[in-house]
Order: sequence, then C-alpha cells, then structure tokens
Amino acid sequence: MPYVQGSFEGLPDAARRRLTEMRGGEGKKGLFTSDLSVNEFLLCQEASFDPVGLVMGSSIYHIGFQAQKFYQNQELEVLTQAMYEARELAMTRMEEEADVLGADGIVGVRLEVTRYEWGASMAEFMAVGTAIKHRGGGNYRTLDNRPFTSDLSGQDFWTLLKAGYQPLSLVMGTCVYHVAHQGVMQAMKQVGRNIEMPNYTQALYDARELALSRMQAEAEREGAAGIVGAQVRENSHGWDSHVIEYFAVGTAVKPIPGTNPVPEPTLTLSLND
Amino acid sequence: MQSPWIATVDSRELSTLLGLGIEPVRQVFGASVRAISLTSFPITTCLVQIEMDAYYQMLDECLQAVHAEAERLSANGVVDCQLTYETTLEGAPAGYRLLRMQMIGTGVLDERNLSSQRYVAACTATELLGLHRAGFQPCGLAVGHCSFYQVAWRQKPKRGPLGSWMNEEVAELTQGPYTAREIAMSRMTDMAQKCGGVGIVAVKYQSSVIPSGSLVDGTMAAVCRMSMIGTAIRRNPKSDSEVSISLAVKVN
Repeated sequence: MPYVQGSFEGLPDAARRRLTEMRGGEGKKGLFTSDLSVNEFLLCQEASFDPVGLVMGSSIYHIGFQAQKFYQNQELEVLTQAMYEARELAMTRMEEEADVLGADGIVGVRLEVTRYEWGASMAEFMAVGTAIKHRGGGNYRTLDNRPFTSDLSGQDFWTLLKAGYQPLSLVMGTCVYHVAHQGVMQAMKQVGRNIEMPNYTQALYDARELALSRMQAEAEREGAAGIVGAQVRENSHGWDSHVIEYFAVGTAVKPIPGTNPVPEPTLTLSLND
Repeated sequence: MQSPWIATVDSRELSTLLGLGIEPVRQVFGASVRAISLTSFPITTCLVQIEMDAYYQMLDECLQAVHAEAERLSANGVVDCQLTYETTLEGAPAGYRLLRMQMIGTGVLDERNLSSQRYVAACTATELLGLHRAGFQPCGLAVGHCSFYQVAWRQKPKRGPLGSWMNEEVAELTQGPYTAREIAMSRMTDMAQKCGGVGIVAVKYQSSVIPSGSLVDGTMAAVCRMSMIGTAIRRNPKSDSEVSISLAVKVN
C-alpha cells in the first residue's frame, strides 16, 4: 500500500474521527498527545514546532515461506519482501494519521517488530512517533508533499535544525539472508584449527551491503544530501539460526537554504555520572 | 518534633525540586487488587467490558488513595507518579484472574500551584523544571486502557492450498490492536481534557496481543490490550519566562 496524498484508506473510522477531533475547531478545543519527553517537547517548541499528536500505524502480517538451499549463501527474497511490505504498511498508516492532523512531519519514529509464540509465521509491525507542525507555516514536507519522517529524538532534531539541515524521510534497507551450512568434509578439515569461516564472513558482508545499498537508494530517490543516525541492526526474529535480517535505518536530510552557520558550542561540566 | 520527609526522588532531583520552590512531603501510595472471572468469549468482536470496568475502578481507587494520602499530608501536588498494572493467574482463585494496580509518587507542597486543585503528574523534577520554564504546568495524569476481543482470520476456501505460504497482511487481526489503541487514546485524551489540559507529554504505552477463545474452523481470536499513561499539561497564565537553549558540549 504506497502512500497516496490525501488518502486515509489504511485508517479505521474510529482513528479518523479521533484525529479530526484532536485538531479542534467547530467549537471544540484541540488537544495534543505526544510520547516526546518533556525535554524533547521543549526543544521542539523552541525550534518553532508544536506537537500535534502521537501517531501510530501497525500491521499484523503473515510471513510467507521460502525454501533455502542448505549449502548456499542466498538472500531470501520472499522474507525480505515481507519485512519491507509490512513495515511500509505500518509507516504509511502512521503518515496518514499525521496527514489527518495536518502535520508537517513526524519525529522520534520507532519501528518495532513483535513475534508471537502463538503465531510462528506472523509478526506485528508497528510504527510510532510524534507528529509535529511548524508554527510559522514553513514548508517541511517532502517533495511529494508527504509529512517528513525521522527517527531522530527531539534533541537530535533540534541540533539538526540548528546545524542548517532538515529531515526528509526515514530511509531503510533490509535484507533477509540465509547463511550456508558447512559441509561435513569442510568441518572435519577445521577440527582443532584457528580458521576463518569464509561462508559466514561473506554472508554478513553481502547482507549488510544489500541492506545499506537499499537504504542509500531510498535516500537518493528522496533527493537527500546525506543520512544521519544510520544504524545497521542484525535480527533473527525467531527464524532458523542460519537466517538473519540486516536492517539499515536512518534519517535522510537536506540543507536548509539560507541558514546561519552552526554556533560555537559552549563547554559545560555535567553533574551526571 | 517534625517528622522527616520521605521522597522517591534522588538528591539531584530533590535539589531541582527545592530550587523550583517545591518541597517534598512524603511518598504517597495507592494500590488495588481485583479478581475477575475468566470470561467465556463470544463469537463476535467486542470490548472485554469486565476487564475495562475493573481497570477503571482500580484506577479510581488508586487515585483516590493517592489523593487521600496527599490530603492528609497537606500536599497540593504529587510528582514522579508511577503506575504499574499486571494481570496474572498466579494466586487467583480457580476460574478467576488477578488484576493488580499500584500507584506510587511523592507528595509535594508546590508554591506555584495557586489553584485549589491538587495535581498528580508522572513528571520528574527535571521535567517539571523544563515545563515551568516554558510556561507550562502539569494538571493531572492522563491514563487510557482498552481490552478488545478480536475475532480474526476466518480461513477462506478461495485462498487455495498454498494460500498460507504467501506473504500477506492478516487484516482482521491488524484491526484488533488498532481499535484497542484508538479507544485507549480517546480515553486518555478525555481524561486530560477533564482536568483542563491542552496537551499530554511523555506518553508511555504498553500493548499485548494474546490468543484466546476458540480456534475451531480456522477462526482465530485474540485479546488485544493497550494501556497508555502521560502527564496532562496546561499553560501557566502567570508565567512569562521563555526557554533559552544553546549548544553545549558535555564533559563527562
């Protein structure tokens, strides 16, 4: 389900009603919700952004099956596709919620995957963050007029703006990879020796590269100048021990034209440990 | 002799509170334990009303206990309030489930709180400082909860023998957590609006999807729970201060 401007297809009726009420108007007072900490909330306010609501999107997804070649390193495309599509569904619904609230973007986005013991082939994908709106009516939306998304905290978001950059989109790349098993003969040859396991090393390299290149391609499509806070996580999601997911995620950013240079930081001694 | 005060806050938080003109009085506590019967679930999607009612009754009891303790101590605010909630079969009579709720915080004398209303806030002292500086003040806890029974995944014959091998969203089951979240969030915002809040900060949530009921004929059912808690805030009309923030390098 790709994002379509103005479409609220993925939202249940109750969500649309609640979000519309949160905007206020028609004699009703608006009220915002936010999972930003107080410090994050204040920093967003200082940067002329007001939180407009806690937004969420989720999808419970049945992950299909793909046969693996026991002695071969290979990407499991069916599983990669499932991880992409389910995250996309959750993200799109979250963006639609932000749209209903008239937000310019979403900060502090977290993408969570929960596997249930009772449903081995199913997983719940959840995207959650705080929708914010620029007080001065500045245009912070993306090129295709969707609210920007970012996994940056309120502190990182404030610092990014002060540095003259604005977030564009949460970009991600994923790759589910099967690491080949060793043959019996190969295992015998290694008994009692220090030796590199080339199939493992190669698999990790390949999977990470695929995930990173996909994240980079997403950022290029968004017209970004760079990606900040990029992380590569390795997950197994309860699959076979030879199946791993490499998940690369970060916030694509672009410079804000005409901003001042970064002010010189003040040195402080913290009372914290 | 005046009795010593007891606070859940540490020494740094304490100095922040004192600096704000907020004096800790004593730890305040509220608890409630209830046993509810193990519901036999119907065949249709619905609210688990018995659990919802129990949750809100327990919340009321905990809040009343916290307010009563604060009243006795002449405290006009409660800060750093933490709420824990759990359901368990352990220790429950046969055919029942135990629900436990506990609320703990620090009763304070807040000289800035000029209203007659006592506030309960999940904020720490540092967070209060930030809020005061920005011209906001806490006005109460905002809590929302929903237990929702979702019947899902009626196996459709047209999916064919390989249907379950394919990637696909389980749309009906997705609806369960969504609905639970919507109801929990609405209740949380209602609670914030009742105490005059303009917003809720630092919302924390806890969710679960637990299979339940019959699995006959490919029908799957689950109880989706969502609990949310945050601090409702309002503008302090007397405050004219503004936050001034500058970049700093922390030397550890």
